[in-house]
Amino acid sequence: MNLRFRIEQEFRFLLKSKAVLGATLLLFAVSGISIGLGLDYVAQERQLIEEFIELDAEQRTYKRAQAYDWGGAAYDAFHATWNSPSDLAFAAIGQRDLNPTMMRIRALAVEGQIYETDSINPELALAGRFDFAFVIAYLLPLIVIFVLYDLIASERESGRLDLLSVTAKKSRLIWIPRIALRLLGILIAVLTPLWFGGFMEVTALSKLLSASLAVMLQLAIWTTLVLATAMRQTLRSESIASINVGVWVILTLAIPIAGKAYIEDSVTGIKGADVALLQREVVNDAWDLPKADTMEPFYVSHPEWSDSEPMTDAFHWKWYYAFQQIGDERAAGLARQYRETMLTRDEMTAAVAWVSPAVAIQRQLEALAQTNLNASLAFEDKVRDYHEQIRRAYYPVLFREVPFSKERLAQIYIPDFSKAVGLRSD
Amino acid sequence: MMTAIGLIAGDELRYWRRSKIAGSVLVILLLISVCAALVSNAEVSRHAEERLAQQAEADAIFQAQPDRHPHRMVHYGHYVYRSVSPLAVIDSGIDSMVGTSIFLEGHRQNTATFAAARETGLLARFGSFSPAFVLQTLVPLLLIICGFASVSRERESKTLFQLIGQGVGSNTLLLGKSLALWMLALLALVPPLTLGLVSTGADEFGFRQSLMSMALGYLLYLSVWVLVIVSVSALMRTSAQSLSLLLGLWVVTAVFMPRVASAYASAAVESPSQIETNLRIEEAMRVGGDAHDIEDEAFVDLRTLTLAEYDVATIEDLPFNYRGYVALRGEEADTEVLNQFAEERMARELEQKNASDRFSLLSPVVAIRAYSMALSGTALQDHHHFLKASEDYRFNMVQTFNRLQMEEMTLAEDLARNASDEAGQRTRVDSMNWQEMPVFESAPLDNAQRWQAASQAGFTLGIWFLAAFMLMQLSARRLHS
Repeated sequence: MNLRFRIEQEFRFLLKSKAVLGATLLLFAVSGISIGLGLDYVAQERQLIEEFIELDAEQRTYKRAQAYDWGGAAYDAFHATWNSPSDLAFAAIGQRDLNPTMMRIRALAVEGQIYETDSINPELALAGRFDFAFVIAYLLPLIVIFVLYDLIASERESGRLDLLSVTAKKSRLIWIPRIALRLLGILIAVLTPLWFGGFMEVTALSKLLSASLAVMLQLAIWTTLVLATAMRQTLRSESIASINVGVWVILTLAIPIAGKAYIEDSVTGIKGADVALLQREVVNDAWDLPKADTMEPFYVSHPEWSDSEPMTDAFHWKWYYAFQQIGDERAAGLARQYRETMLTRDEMTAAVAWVSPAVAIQRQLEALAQTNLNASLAFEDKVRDYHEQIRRAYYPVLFREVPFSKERLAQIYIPDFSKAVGLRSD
Repeated sequence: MMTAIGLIAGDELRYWRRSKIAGSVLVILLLISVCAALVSNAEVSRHAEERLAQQAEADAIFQAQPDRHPHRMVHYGHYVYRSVSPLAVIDSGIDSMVGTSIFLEGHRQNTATFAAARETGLLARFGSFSPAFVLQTLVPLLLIICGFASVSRERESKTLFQLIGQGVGSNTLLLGKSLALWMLALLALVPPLTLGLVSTGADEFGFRQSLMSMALGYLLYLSVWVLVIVSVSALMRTSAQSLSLLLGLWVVTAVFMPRVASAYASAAVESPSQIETNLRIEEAMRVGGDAHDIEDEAFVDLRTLTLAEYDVATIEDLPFNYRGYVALRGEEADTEVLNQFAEERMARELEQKNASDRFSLLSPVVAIRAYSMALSGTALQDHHHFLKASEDYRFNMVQTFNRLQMEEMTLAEDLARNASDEAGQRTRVDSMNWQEMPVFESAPLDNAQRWQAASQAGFTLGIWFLAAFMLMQLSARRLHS
């Protein structure tokens, strides 16, 4: 009874404290906007992918009609690959705009194709994305600071503290409902837009729950941090605010930036440009080398074609596709190292996350939304897998020297990307 | 009055010396700006050296190519690397967001690939520890912490009315307080300015002038903060109120507005994906025909015209290799299509930038960002300038190869190149030709062009300064009554 009375009393108090209410409403509006922008972004991306698939198919049909030999047909036949945004991508767009989400792949060396990125507007990218993850990482802590910093100090400075302490049996008990109610307001302000987005995108319940849990954890961390100073009776409210904003600057700005500088400096590793350069050298050198230099290693890795007829002409398509493959095989080691360099950086970022809640929450949400490095590399793997299927589809006609015909070309079946690599349909 | 302002400022400085907060702020300020200058300098010079080394390596590999059929070189292509602006030490701008190298080849315009941001991952978006970040974001915060109570403190301790009662005009009081804070801002400018002067040592492209304009811009920007801080401190009843309002302003203008502006711009000006553009380019290029195939229907007219021009009956009778000629004219036609699409894209990107820059009327941080990047030579315009320069280089390179194909072999030799190894040898061109190809050098935009890109943001900063000054007048009047 007493508790219920206290809560009702606090609720009336909350409605009267305009600043707290205003801050909570601001948070609600900002997270609502971020979710709206996120939903818009994924919708736009899906539409782009749809248009892309259609355009790509048209182009392929046109090129197939023009084909007059196997090598040329394979050379001109691009196949669309795409990485659709997940059902939680709207909340954490993460690195999706920097990583390739659509690619056209053909039977040539894959290393020459897989690093093409979409050209983004660099000035817009520089500012960073205004997504839900950003709101939770940056704004949420500031709102927590704002609604909690003068919890005790304001009562003391207005001279009510003693009165309050006298009326409550246990001094702790006064603050708990007040804090709880304010935090509840914040939680509702951020989770309602998230769940609305989840409803619109039919997001898996488990993902929404995990994301909500991550948000609550962030809230808990900052509440603890703020209360550590706000509950001290000796501090003035300006000092509490300054200290907490200072802590916020250190945790959300200084540590990530210092971490970034350190990581870039210590993990130099392989540059992507090195992989592309090596692949291009191998492929181009092959033109000037004796054909055996290409065919021997090729037949080692592809013994099933080693009984193919020897070549007499100066140019032969099967030789051309063989040296494309050899280019990939030679660059494979470097490509792996390049990937490992990125993974090492990512592991070090995980270490930074231990000391910066802002980094931690963004990593967590991006992992759930599949918009992080791992998701991008998983897509790359699928593209490589698909490329393998494409090139192998042309090998029988190339190496068995089947005479070219449109009918036989029509029989070369390459399933579309989603079927070939088992994407979920959406 | 001047002496009165000086006295008030001196008083404020003495107060800072007594209180611990200002002392630690000063130490932090100097530490951060000196560190940022050193870190940024090390990072930028490493990038610059890396790119130079990579470009030298790419040039060496290119020049070491053996005798070849020129069209092989068209497909072999060349890599060019973006050079680093000397003022990137102050503001690295979009440098990490755009690819560092472009692969140049025939029939295509590739995008710049391997942006550092992708290779760094998540942390790239948290900004970089550059002097620009310190001046734009952290220094205002430190100024707030030093100045939020400059006037409200006097009010709370009841010394304010004493001061005014002693005949110190409220305007004088606020100017004096501002002067003290302003000296702190001036101090923050010293390390980056020194760094900029060192970095623009051998100044070929007027970067030193840009540095001066940049310093003035930052001075104006920090003055806006100083005036706003002192005014708010005078307008609010308590120091606590003053602090929360100022911190709120800082969060909104420095942390949120840049992202809001960017989100608004990308929603307001939609852009097709690069891949869709590529598909549309291919579609447009179909009309131009495939220049590898001289029998392509698209070249029927060209053949008739050329035969008429040289007054011969067959292409074999032409005084040059007709295949090379088709390649030359085909590349011309392709490039026209490619350039048209490239220009469209750049125009759209600029439109997006302008949409985003419009938010500079809502936040001086958006204004100073645009201003500082443009003058550092690390803005969108500079990237476009690089793209255009590399495209010019690509076109000239490819056409040089095509001319070699035209002039260094006959059509019969060219058509028979795959018949045997000896026939192939006859169509190879001396590797001297690759060594004689001029290396890629791209001069940055000049000072006037950089200034042109920055002027609008600079003008907005001026408006902000006037508005902040008027705010101070207003708060002085309020204080007086």
